[in-house]
Amino acid sequence: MVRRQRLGRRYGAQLLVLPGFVFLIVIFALPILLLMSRSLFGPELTVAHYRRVFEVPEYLLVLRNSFQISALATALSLAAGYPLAYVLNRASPTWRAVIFTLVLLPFWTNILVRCYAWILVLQNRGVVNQILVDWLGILARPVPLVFNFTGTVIGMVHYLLPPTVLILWSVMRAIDFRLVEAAQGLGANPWRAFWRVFLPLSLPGVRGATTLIFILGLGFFVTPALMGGRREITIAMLIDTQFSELLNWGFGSALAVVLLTVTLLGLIVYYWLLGRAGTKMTVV
Amino acid sequence: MKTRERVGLRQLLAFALFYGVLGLTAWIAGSTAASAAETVVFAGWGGSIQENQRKIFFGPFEKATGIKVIDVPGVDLGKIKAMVEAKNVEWDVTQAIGMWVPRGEKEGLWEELDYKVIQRDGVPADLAQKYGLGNSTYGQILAYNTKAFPPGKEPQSWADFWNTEKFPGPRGMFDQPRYMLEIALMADGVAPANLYPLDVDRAFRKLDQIKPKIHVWWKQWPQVPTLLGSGEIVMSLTSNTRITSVKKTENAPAEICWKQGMMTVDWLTVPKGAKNKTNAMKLIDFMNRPELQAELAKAAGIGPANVKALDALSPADRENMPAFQFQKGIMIRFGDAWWAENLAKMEERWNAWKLR
Repeated sequence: MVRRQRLGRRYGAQLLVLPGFVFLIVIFALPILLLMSRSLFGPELTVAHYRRVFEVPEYLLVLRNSFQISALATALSLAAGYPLAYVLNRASPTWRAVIFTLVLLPFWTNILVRCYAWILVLQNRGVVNQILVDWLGILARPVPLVFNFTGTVIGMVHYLLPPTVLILWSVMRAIDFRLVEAAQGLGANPWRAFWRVFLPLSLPGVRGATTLIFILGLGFFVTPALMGGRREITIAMLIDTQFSELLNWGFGSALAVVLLTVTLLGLIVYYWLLGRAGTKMTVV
Repeated sequence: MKTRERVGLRQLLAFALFYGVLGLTAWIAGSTAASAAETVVFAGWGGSIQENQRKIFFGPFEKATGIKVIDVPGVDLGKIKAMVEAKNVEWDVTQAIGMWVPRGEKEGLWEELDYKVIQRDGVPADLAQKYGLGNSTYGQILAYNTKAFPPGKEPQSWADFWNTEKFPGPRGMFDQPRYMLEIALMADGVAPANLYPLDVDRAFRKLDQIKPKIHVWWKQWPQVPTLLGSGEIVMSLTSNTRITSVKKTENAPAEICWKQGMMTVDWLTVPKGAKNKTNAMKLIDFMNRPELQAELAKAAGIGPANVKALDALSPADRENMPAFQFQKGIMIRFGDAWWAENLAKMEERWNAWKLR
């Protein structure tokens, strides 16, 4: 009896983690290791793939494009998602259900269908331009809303908004709203109470959402392909082509490893900057 | 510390049992599925093309042979390579674009076709190869909106596609170098017969001229009929079947210019290590029947590869067939071999050119 308990205490909990741990190794770690070895061995050790990534200027240009597009889409998703999550958090159960349905509906729609629907809305002969040009006569000619940078960002924000709202809402739900009420009770106006109490408490959630949404955004290749124009080439599109069309898995893996590395470096810098800003705030 | 949950050996055993049973169930499910009745798995493009294939080829094949056809969409050379490398090939017959046959051959992805089972008569010699049998033909043609260009004013060549003064309006361009280099060279005056090997520098110089007039850089074939029909673009390359079907189903104001078109062939191939290889050969043989290919041509505007099928068509239907236009010398064969060699280089250059 004593022995059994000791065994359980020592290894039990760890052993329970084992299936999950094995799962993560098989699903995440192994493929990434395979990816890395593919990018370096073909079958002999070579850095030719990496050299090509850095020698042909377009690859770094595309990488920069992808980061810019994803950063902007993330910022807009947060700007739209934060108030939405706040309202969701404060709404009555009925309204919450309504808003949730509206937020989640696009989440369950196939990405291709969404892109084609957006094209019908945004194209020169689309709904928006027809209203502006033909019905209201505000504009002499249609505004280019799709098949360019604008279209890509619109399509991506539409895709990224539901996960943004879900992440932010789950964080906000955990915030004790009585703290805000206490601030108001002590004389702070609602805006000040929000700014000094609620916002700082929600910042960890914002931080997490930014990271996740930005990384999701980096992986986009359908939306920029369909709603973008000549210049909206993302690194994910190139990786997709290398794997499925050109069968050049070595070079595709090298591109993927570069993307992974740059993303990790970016995140480290981001958290480091946040950490510094955080220390400063507490000092003040 | 004392409140920490303790896990006894019993719970551990229960967990082990749970995962064990889970694994066993999966294994049994897998092996029973494999030992089920005779089957053959066909991977194609999906959509309306595959619906027609099911109706015309697979249904009757099941009735005739008792072999069940499982048809799945999303055929892709990358996936085939992954399956062959993992030695777990789920597809038995794969529909393949022309380039895939030589490229797959280089990578060792195909089984040799068994021409003792497959009756090849009626198929031109260059379409019945060691690793693939031509099954359907498509025309990569210039399509235009008939409201923008009514009869008498229609574009008649790729030079007209480039001529934005005489033929104004936004253009669509396939966002891939293939076909695009060919049309640029034809627009620049190269005779269709002298296209290959492609003069790449000349083609990109010509493409520079049309670059600012391109409104949509399209990626997927279904995009074009919608864009053309609505007038969002007035001209683009597309495949003849897309226009034929959108005219039929939606009465869309779109028309085909066959001149200077390129004929492409879709092949049937068998991935290396396919589990139902014998049945695969039987299905390929069945899909080569001229009377069935003629039926597919009538239903979907997809051209036959077996030229005997042309005899079964009315003169009007025949005019809509790429193979017929090719026989007449209106179209040329697309250069699969050149592209199989140069695709990677051209893709890189295409992206660089677009970003500039």
